Amino acid sequence: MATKQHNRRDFIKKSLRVGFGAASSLVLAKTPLLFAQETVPGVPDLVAVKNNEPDVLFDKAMSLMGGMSRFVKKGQTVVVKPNIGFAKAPEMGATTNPLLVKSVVEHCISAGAKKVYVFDNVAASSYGVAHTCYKKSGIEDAAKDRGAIVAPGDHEKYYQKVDVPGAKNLVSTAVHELILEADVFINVPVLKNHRYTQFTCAMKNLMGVVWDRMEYHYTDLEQSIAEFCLFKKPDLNIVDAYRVMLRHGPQGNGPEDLVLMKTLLVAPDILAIDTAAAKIFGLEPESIRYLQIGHDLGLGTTKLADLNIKKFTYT
Amino acid sequence: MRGRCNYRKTRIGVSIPLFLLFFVLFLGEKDFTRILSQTLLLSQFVPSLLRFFSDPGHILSLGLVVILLITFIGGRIYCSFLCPLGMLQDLISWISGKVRVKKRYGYRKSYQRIHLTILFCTFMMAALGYLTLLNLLDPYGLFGRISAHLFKFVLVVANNMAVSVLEIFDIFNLSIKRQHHVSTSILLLTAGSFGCLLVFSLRAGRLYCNSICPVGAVLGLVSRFSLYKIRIDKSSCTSCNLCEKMCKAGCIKSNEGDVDNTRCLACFDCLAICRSSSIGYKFRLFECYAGASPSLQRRKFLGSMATFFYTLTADPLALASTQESDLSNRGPITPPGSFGLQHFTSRCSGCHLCVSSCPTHALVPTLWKYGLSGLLQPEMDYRRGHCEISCTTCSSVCPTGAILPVTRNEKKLIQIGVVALNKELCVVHVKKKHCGACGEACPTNAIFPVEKGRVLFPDINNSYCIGCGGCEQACPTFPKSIKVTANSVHLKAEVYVPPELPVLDMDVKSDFPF
Repeated sequence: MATKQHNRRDFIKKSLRVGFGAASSLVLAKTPLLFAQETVPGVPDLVAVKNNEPDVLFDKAMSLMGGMSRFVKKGQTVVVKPNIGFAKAPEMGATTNPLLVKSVVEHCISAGAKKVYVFDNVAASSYGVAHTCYKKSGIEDAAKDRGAIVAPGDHEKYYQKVDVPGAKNLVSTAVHELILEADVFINVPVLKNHRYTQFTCAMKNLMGVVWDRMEYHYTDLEQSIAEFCLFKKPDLNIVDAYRVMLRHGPQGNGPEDLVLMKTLLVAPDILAIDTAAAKIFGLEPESIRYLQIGHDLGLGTTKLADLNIKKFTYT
Repeated sequence: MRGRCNYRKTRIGVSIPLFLLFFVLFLGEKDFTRILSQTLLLSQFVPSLLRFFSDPGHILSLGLVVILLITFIGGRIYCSFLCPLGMLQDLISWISGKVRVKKRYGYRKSYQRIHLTILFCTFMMAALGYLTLLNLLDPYGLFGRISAHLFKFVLVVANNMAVSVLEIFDIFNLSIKRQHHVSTSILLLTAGSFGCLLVFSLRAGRLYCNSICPVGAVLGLVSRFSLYKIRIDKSSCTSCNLCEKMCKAGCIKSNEGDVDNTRCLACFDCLAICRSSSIGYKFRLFECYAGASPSLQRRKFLGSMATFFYTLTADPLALASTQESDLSNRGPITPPGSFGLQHFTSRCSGCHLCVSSCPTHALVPTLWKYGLSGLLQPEMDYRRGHCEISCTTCSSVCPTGAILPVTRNEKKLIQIGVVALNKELCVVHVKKKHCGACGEACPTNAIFPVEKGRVLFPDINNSYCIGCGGCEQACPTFPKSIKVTANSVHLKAEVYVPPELPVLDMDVKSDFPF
């Protein structure tokens, strides 16, 4: 009886929110922020799927999400930002699964994207490392295979200085021109342990779109990670939790650090997806400093209970 | 006559492709350089010589024997067919001949006294452990530095211009290249030596080879007794002087029908130009050129050679003493595979092939960081790049054995240095804010976080450290808070064994925790 009541209350809450959302989107048409934040009937805020191969999971997640055409319109340019941070094979779980990147590119192209770019500014800034990372992670080949343009991120000339509105720490930073120019920004992080920020996922992955990540480290790492989202948030976040590195992150010591979770999360809200990822990872979202800062900056929601979450588990 | 011209044609046919390969070698593109260094460098005198003394059984040391044998049979064929610096000088002369009026040379008096004195000094110094003159004058090393620091730079600029154009069309097949770091002093030295060479070859042909080059001097001493020699048949010679004017070594006295075989480079230009077919390349046993006979120098030279043999097999004392002074402060870090300061400094000839091919630009040439005895030898400098843990490029390209080949698995445990953290500069210690730049970059788990009052401080276990400099390169402070100090003798790092993984109750079938 109690549960029924709870469900009903939830239903009313949701209906009210949907109604408000619909009304406000009529009033404030063309406000992309509302589109991303508010719930549209039948379309979930967050999709979580598990127990299959990365590409199968992504197909399922996108069909639950309402298709890639919700995010990518015909003729638009898309930039896909996976984690290609280290020169490690896909089996080491230090980089985004190439099969997932391949699938994301495929979805973008079939949604009518004019161009799909893939790039990352890798973790080590020594000359020549980026090339090795692109190759060894398998992402360059996977993305090119589906028609993406794999762009370089290893030279300062590709970055432009921007101001971050409302930031007290990361007041300005140099951002990759593709992030500034592309119509759609898709963030495809890998979920893994990071010994200095507890875990790395969607928000932390955005450190790879700026030129000088060391200014994050030098000033205040977690504050900067959160504040970058004041400048730009991805239109869609896709979390690869297929092979999850549980310790020795972000590089990992070997396959014994990994656990096969075979999970995928998709959400437009970067804070919500990081909260969900933290929970999957076995962490309390309240204990992660940059999620709390993100919450205080109003980047999204950390209250998963308020969201329309669709889950699917293959058996 | 036509038949004899084939000698010259062969020389051109051999030297042009070889020159191009040498040029490609020093561009330092990993795969090409690796293959070329293992084949092409077999033919180089000084690398083979250094190899011969350090590792006589190595295939590269065979080159020395072959070169000396060839010289004994056919004269200084090496100088025209195999020496990249010789080819470069020929190229300069050829281009200047195309641009301006055809250059004419003439007989020059022999600088053999100066030449042998330079050779004597070079070998005496090398014998005492000072590779200074050898590194400065070795034609292979000199070509390497000119090629890597000057010619490569031009190509890098051209490549980057091409990249900028192709990018407009979303073509990213070429990528931006960066020139390896060369300090101003070395750049000036290289440009200066190239300038001298340019003037020499424009004004006087192969003057460098016959008055300075120590390899030329050695081969000149051998070619004096060579079995095949260039000879002018006085009976048919018309004294037209063409051969003398053609000779870039300036070793033909046509009016007397004399050829100085110690200086003749076996380029065969004279054979091709002679209209009366009076010049022959013929078997002449026991027929020595009777020009200036440097018996005194020869004796001195033989003495120095003996000392050289002795001191290179027995570790030179002089070298050990220079190392001790270097150890007092932070000495240069030598690359993995070089075993340490002594092995490296006694074998490196400063050709900078490793510098040009280091994929992360961690190897940087120094002028005299190793002391004057180790002029131009490179060191690991982590300000611009770190030493990638799985990379063995420098060890696989080094022709002299200064950096010996190591496998990837061996390299992962070679400790070329250890790190030290300066807590007065470290972000975490100063600001009590998380940084983790060093720990993130560390490939061996030598740096790990320790939590004190909710802040994660970096801590170091140097038994796992290999001195790759990943942390130093990544450290965001200036000056760097974490720095590698050299191991003067390389050690073996311990393998990191992770603590037992806690049992995971992560059931993949379980529902999502939200």
